[in-house]
Order: sequence, then structure tokens, then C-alpha cells
Amino acid sequence: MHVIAVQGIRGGCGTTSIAAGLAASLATLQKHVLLIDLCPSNLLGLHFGLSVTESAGWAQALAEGYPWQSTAFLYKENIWLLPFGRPTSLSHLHELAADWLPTSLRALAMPDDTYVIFDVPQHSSFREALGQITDLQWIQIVQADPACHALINQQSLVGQLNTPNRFWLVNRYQPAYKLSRDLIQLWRLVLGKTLISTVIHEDEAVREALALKRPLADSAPASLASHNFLSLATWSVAQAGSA
Amino acid sequence: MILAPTAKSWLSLYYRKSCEHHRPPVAFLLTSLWLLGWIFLRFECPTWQWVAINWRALYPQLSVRRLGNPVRTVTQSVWLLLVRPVNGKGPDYLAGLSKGAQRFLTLFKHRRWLHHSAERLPLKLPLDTLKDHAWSSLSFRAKCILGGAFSLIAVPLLLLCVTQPFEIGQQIVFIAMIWALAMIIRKMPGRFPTLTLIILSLIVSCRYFWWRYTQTLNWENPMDIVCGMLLLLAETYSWLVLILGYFQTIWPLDRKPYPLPLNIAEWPSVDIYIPTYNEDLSVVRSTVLASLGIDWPRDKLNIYILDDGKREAFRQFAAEVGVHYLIRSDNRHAKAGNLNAAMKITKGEFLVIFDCDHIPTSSFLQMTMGWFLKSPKLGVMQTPHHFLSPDPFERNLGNFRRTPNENTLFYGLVQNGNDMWDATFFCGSCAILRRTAVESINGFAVETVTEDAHTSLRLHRNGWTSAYIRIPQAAGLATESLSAHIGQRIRWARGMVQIFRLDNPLMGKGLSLPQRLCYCNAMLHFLAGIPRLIYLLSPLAFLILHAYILYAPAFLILLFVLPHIAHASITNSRIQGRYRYSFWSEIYETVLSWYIARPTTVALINPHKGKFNVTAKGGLVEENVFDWSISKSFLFLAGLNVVGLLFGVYRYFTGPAVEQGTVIISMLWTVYNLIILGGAIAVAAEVRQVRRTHRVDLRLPAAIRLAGGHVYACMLTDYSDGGVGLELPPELQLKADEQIFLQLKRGLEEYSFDTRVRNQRGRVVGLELEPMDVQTRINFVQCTFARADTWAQWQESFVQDSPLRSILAIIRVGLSGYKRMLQHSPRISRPLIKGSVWLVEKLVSFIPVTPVLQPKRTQQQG
Repeated sequence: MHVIAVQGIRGGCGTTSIAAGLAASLATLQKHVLLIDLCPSNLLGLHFGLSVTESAGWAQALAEGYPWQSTAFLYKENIWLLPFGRPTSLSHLHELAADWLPTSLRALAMPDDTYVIFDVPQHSSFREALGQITDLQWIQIVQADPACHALINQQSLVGQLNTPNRFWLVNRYQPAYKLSRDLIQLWRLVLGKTLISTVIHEDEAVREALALKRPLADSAPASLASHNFLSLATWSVAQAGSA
Repeated sequence: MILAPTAKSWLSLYYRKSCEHHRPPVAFLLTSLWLLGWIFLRFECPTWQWVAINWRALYPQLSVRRLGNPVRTVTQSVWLLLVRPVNGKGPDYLAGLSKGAQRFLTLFKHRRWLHHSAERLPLKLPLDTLKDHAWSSLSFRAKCILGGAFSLIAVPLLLLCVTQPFEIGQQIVFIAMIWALAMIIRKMPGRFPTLTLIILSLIVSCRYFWWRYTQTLNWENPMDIVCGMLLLLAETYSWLVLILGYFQTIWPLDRKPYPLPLNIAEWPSVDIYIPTYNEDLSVVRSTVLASLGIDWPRDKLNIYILDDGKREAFRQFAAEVGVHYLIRSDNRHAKAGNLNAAMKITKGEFLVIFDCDHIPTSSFLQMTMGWFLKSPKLGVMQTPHHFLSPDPFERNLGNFRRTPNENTLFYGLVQNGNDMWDATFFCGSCAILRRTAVESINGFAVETVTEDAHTSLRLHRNGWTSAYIRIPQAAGLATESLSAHIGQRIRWARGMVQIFRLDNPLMGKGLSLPQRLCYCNAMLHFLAGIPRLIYLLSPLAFLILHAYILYAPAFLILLFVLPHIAHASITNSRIQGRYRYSFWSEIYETVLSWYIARPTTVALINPHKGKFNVTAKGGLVEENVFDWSISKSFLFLAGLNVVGLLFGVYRYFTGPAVEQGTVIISMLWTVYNLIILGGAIAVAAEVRQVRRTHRVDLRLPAAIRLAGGHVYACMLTDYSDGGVGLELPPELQLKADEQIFLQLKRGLEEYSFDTRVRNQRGRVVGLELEPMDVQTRINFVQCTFARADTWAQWQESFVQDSPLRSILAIIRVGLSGYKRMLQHSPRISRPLIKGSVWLVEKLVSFIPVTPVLQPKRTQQQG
């Protein structure tokens, strides 16, 4: 089992779309995927056609005390999806999750080459719970804009850039913008190999995919972003192989 | 009847089906055969089933219904028993054959055994590991003594091998042994086997020439001796070039780039010269823009357009992009004068010269300058000339990037071999020179029309060294038309011969012996014209004039000539195999021979005659023309050879019986000449080229962004100065004149360019670039013309040559030449020629072919 946590360096970087896109591309590579939504806005399910009114999810199950397994959805053949759900109260949830997450992950009987992908919101109370999972790989989502650059700089000032097992992924890249090009060049120096060489391009097809409530790999396989996700998935597989 | 009901219904079904395609008697015959096959063979077993499924691939020549297919089936079946299909993934279908056939086949397997075992040997032969051995620890004196002692034994033995006269039987044993030895070591890796092959080839060839000079000249008859001597001199010339060629390429150096110092302040200042005379601005533009993208400190890099055409548009362009623009008052001494004039004005420590159509990559200086800083005596560094477009040979033969071209041998192997002897020539472009070195010889040489080679000869004479890095750092356009190509070669040939006369590398001071030999070979190479013509005409001297050019019995001729040719072929094939395919140079030389024969002879007699002519590039061939003016000479030679063949037939039937063997050999030689001439004629048929700016075919991943924000991955198929061609994903339709943003990558960096849709045909769309600012134009050139992938492809190079495969390709090319000639021939002669081509094609279609099977798994196997 290979565990990946996807998180934006700031809000609005498109983290949920990346989690969904990566999962769908891994599935096209014949891998098994388990997607777990840790974001209370509960949007991940929408990418796979769940209804907006669907309120079931692992958080709701924990809060209301029914088996969380019953909230899992299967998309096509090999993507399992565990939505956050809409719990009545969020208090104590992170304490419950700190225990629930690592144990239930260990107890899962999934095939060996399963990829577990967490969609982690920016200021998540579940960081602690995720910290207990061994070999967790972080993918930090950035956009090539000055705000993200400032945030990377902040991290570099407090010496947090060299956290092991953390990679950076540029989303919504637009090569026509000179500032974006320059920032990426700069980041390549600062972040070195932790900056994933594949970028996800700005592509209308990504937004349309959500509007269609279908993953990008299904709704617009010819789009550039879809190709980007495929190479990101290939990169993940290579990483999992080398780990 | 005697058959079971199911079999009976099958049989009638088969009969009815064949009745649809054939007349009843044929259908009956087929059905009977089918029945007979079922009785004696097990058609239901997997092997036969596999054959049934793959019969189209196994019998490709049966795809067309034509006369004689049964014969083709038989020949192909026999062939299939002897060879394995290429990429064959099928079951061992031989297992289905009878025991006898299998035993027969093992004979052929054993023939291969020798080669395989040679490849398996863990060979690390002495010379490759010489450094670690006792030899290097010896003193110079000891080496001399040892070497002398070995020579004392070896040289007399060698002389004996060459001069000892043999009886026919002895000669057969001798050549058989040498050939067997060559066959054994041919497949061994390493340099020692190569050296051995060279020695064997030398022995056989020297022996041949000894025999030729001592026994094959008929001094009785003046006609015989004149023709015989001409042929012998031509052969001697080829022999000399062969030996010098072995020497030149014996040990390619494969020099690697040397790192630059980390401190950028130590990097020297560099002037880039882009000389131009009459080329179009669209040709020069990309070169200038690419030079602006070269990675080097801005304050240490100056770019100069040296415009001998003195054109206002060029001055404006230079000002616009921010490069220097130099002109001079006169145009004396053409390019060399142009460079010399610029040297008086500019100040850089190093001069880089790019012909205006050689587009440098950004790493040009990074890869090369290190060596200049390491060795202060290094005067000139050359890099390969790589061509983005096919040269006239490749375009007209349609073998671009499949068969190595003329350049590949020179820049892949010869220059690399020269570097070993510190004899790399300056080739006029894509090179760096040290200013102090050029100043010490009073500037670029102006006495000849090839200023480049002459300049490097002078540098070598003055003690400067040279270097060659076999990594293409610039790519250019090849000459457009065959006439321009020939014009360029005439200039080179004339210039080299001029140097040979005026500043002979064999004489004079300052050169080492290897340097003299390398230069000498380069110059001799251009004298190939007359010997080639002699080869093309020699057999006719016997067939038509009945002159005994080679005064010996036919069988003896074969015993001496064939080993000489065979050994030279396999040795050269081993040395040059990845850079030149066997026999192709025959076509190149033949095309040039007629045209360089006269100028080189003139230059040899009077080296001061002749003027500099510029090689026109970026030009256009206006329409699909058959260049009669160029091919006339080859048609004439081919005609003579055909007449020779007719004479041959006549002589065979009417002449004395003793001569019949000689007649056959001469006729075979004539047929070979005809094939080569056919290749030359194929080259002379020019193909249309309509666009103004030059288009480069290169497949690169790209993306397009539509105005609506959708982005699609697609494939760039070609590009030019003004636009690109793309292959779109299926079902994507673009509107004419729609605005599109093209996204291209250069390494990890990615750029976006504004374009408009010009046309779309199916999945292929043509985009035209919108006007761009200077920086964007530099980026575009960096993403296309000046990108690193072009040389990466070059490095992949070609698969190792196989002489037999090569000769088949040559025959095909030769026939295609005659076929193309017909398409352009006058109407009256067409039926006759068409008939003969039809006959040849029919005959060729009976030759069995090795089937290529798709690696795709069939259901039966799964």
C-alpha cells in the first residue's frame, strides 16, 4: 500500500481536483486506488458523480457511531472513495480520527499495489493523525504565483523545506505568463528534485470535468491536463517502486 | 463416397467457395490438392494453424493476383524453410516438419554458431588493455629494440606473403585461409580484431597489386597497355586511398567536453561571426536569433553579421535584435577576406564562425571552450555539421535519416580519427579559432577557394593543435538542389587540389608524418573523379574495343580480385559500418565524378585558375523536374554500358571459347556499373519543394491552447521560420484563421506562441506564427531549430552496416533510377522501356523475401 497526501500550500490551489485526477489516472494504469476525503467541504465525491445531497461519509459515521465501511463508494472497477460526509458536529472529530485513521488503514485488506490518496485541506486538524502513518508521501500543491512563492519562502526561512518525503507540484501552469515561467525556474533551484518535473497545465477541461461530475481521464482524455495527470501517475508509480 | 458426412460437407463448401474465384477446372484442382493435404498433413495441429493465420505475412508477394503465383509460392516456401521470420514470435513451426528437413536445417544453424560463440567470448584483447601491461612500463629504448626485433621477423614474412607466386590451387588455399581467419575475428568486439582485419585486408590487397603489376599487363599491344595502365593507375589510386583511410580512422579519439572553470570571470570573450553574401534574410535570421540564445556571459559575447551583400534589410534586422553589423568597402577574397576584415575590427579572444544557415544550440560554447582554457596551444576546435534537411542525395533517393549520408562518415568517423593524429581540419563553420593563432598566420588563408582547410593546415604548420568534438552543436540546411550541391563539391575539390599544389602537406615544415598523411588523404579523396570514370568505362574497353586490360585467365582474375574487394568491404564495413553503408559511396562518387574530374585536373595543372562560387542555400526547386542537364552524362555512360552488354553477348557467342569467362566477368562488371549509374540517375531526378522558408521535419510533443481555454496535447510534425505543422488529437476541429496558442518545451522550460490556423487536413493542421517580439523569437528558435534533441537523434546514429543488405538496397535504388527516367522520357521510347522494366519487376517478384511478422499475439497462441 502506498499512501499519498495531497495538500495545497494555500487555499484554492486546486487540491481536490488534483487528488481526483491523480486517482483516475492511476486507475487507467490498472492500479487500485482508495481516495479519502479529509476536507469538511466534502467536494471530492462530486468529482466521481456523487450527488450533492449525499451526506454519508467516514466523519459522519464516526460522529454518529455507525460503521464507516458502509460509506465507501466504488467508482468503475478500481477506485474506492471514502467521502468526508456531513457530520452534525465537528468537535472531537480530530481526536476520534487520530485513533481511527492509522488503525483502520492498517486493518484494510487491499491489494499490495493499492494507492491511498488523502485530500488534505490547508489547515487540517488531521495532520497529527496522518503523521502516524509510516511512509506517507506528501504532495504539496502550488500555483506559480507570488503568493505561493512567498509561502515557500516562509517555509524556507523556518527551515521546513527539507522535510523528507515531501514533493511539490505546480498546478494551473500557464506558460504564456512570464512571471510563472520565471518562478518555476527559480523554484527549480530552491526546491531541487523535490519539485516534480511534471506540471498540471491550466486547462478549461479540468473545470468542465467537475461540472460533468466525471473524472478528467474519462471526460476529456485528449486534454493536456489529462496527459499531465497521466505522467504524474507514472511518476507516483515510479516513486512507489523506488521506495 | 468414402468420406464422413461432415468432411463431405466441408469439401463441397470449399469447392463452392473456390468456384467463386476460379474457373471450375482450377477449383477442382485446388479442392483435390486441399483434400490431399488433409490426408497427408495434419492441418489441424497448432503449427499449421499458425501458418494458416499468418500466411499473409509469410507470403507477402502473394497479396496481388498475378501470373506465376504458384511458382512464387514454391520459392517462398523453400525460403521459409531456410530463414526465420524477422521478429518472429510464432511457435517453432519447424517442429512440424519432417525429421529430414530438420536435419537439413541444422546445417544452417551451425553456420551461425561461429558468430554467436565469437560474440559470447569475454574478450579483452591485449591492445585494449595495453596501459596495464608490461609494454608501457618499458623504456623508450627497450620499446625500440623490441619493436625492431618484431619488425625484423614480421616484415620479411609479410613481403613473402605478398610476393610469393602461387599455383592456382595454392592461391585458393591461401585466400581461403585468410578469409576464414577474417570471418572468425569479424564479429569479435574491440580494436585488436579491427587491426587484424586491416592487416589481412592489406596483405590480400598488396598481393593483388603485386600480381597486377608483375603479371597482368600485356606489353605487346599498345592499345592493351594504354587501357591496362589507365585501369591499373586508377586502381592504385583507390588502393592508396584505402590504406590512408585505414590509417586515418584506425583509432577514433571520441574527445569529451572539458569542464569550464567555475569562476565565470575566467571565461574568455568570444566573437561570433556570421558571414553572409547572397542568402535570404529568413535563412540568416534563425542563426542570429539562436546565437543570441547561446549560454555565455552577455558582456563577453559579441555577435557580428558580416554582410558582403551590403543589404539594408540586414542592417535593420541587426539593429532590431541588437547584434553588430559589419560591411567592408570591397569584396576581395570572398569569405576569407570577409573574416579577415572583421578580425581587424573586433576584439574578442576567440572567434566562432557559423555559416549563415548553421543554427547553434545554446550549449555550443559550454561544450567546447573548456579545451581552449586547458590547452593554450589549441588553435582550432571543430564540431560536426549536422543537417536538419535532407541533402539532394537523400531527398531524391528518399532515404533521409535511414541511410548515413556523405557527411556522416566525415563528421562521425574521419574527423574523429583525424583528432587522434592532431590533424582535425577546420571546415569553415561551427568552429572556434583562437585569435592569436589566426593572427600568427596572418589571418585566414586567401590563396585558395577552400580557405578553411588551408587555414588549419597553416595553423598546424605553425605548431598550433586542433581538436574535434563529435557532438553536433549546430544544425543547418543542406544544399537544396543537386546542381548547387555539385557546385559546392566542385569548389571543395578544386580548393583542396589547389592546396595540394600550392602548399603541399607532404612537403614543407612543421607537420608530423600522420598530419601529412591525413591531409594528403583528404586531398586525394577529391581526385576520385577520373579513376571513377575509368572504372565505369574499363569493362567496355574489353567488350567493345577488345583490349586486354587485364591480361590473365578469367578464373585467376576472380581469385585475386574478389578477395581484394571482399576484404576491403568487410574491413571498411566494420570500421565505418555505423557511418556509411557499403557501396553507397559508389553512388555519391559516381554522381560527382563527371563534374569534378575536369576542375580538379585543371586545378592540378594550373592551381591559380578558377573563382570562388558561393553555395546557394535555402533555395527552391520550382517544380517537379527531371534534371536532364545533370543526368545527361549518366545517361550517356549508361548507354555506353548497355552497348557494351550487347557487344558482350555477341562476343560470347562468336568469340573464342577461352574468352567466354572473361566476357562473363566483364558483363557482370558492366551490370554493376549500370546499377550504380541507375543510382546516379535516381539522384538526378529532383523533387519539388514549394515553400519559401525551409521546413524541418521533426516530431516533438507540443500542446495547443484554444481561445476558450481548452488545452490539447498534440504532436509537432514540422516547423519552419514562419509556422508549424501539428498532428491533432482525433476529432478536434479548428476553424480557419482561429487564434491558437502553441505551447512548446525546451528541456523543462515551456513557452507559448501566438499563431493562427492556416489549414487543416484531417488530423494535420498548419499554424502560422503571428508577429513576435525579439525575445519570443529567440525562444521560438530555441524551442525548435536550436534544441538539443536534434543532436540526441544524431547520436543514436544508424545500425551497423551489413554489406549484403547494402548491395540489395543499392540494386533497388539503381532500378528505381531507370524507372524514374522512364516517367520523364520522350513518348516514343516509352513502350520499349516500360516493357523491359515490367520484365525486370516480374523477375524480381519471384525472389523470396524474409517475412516480417507483427509481434502481436494471435488468438491461437494465447
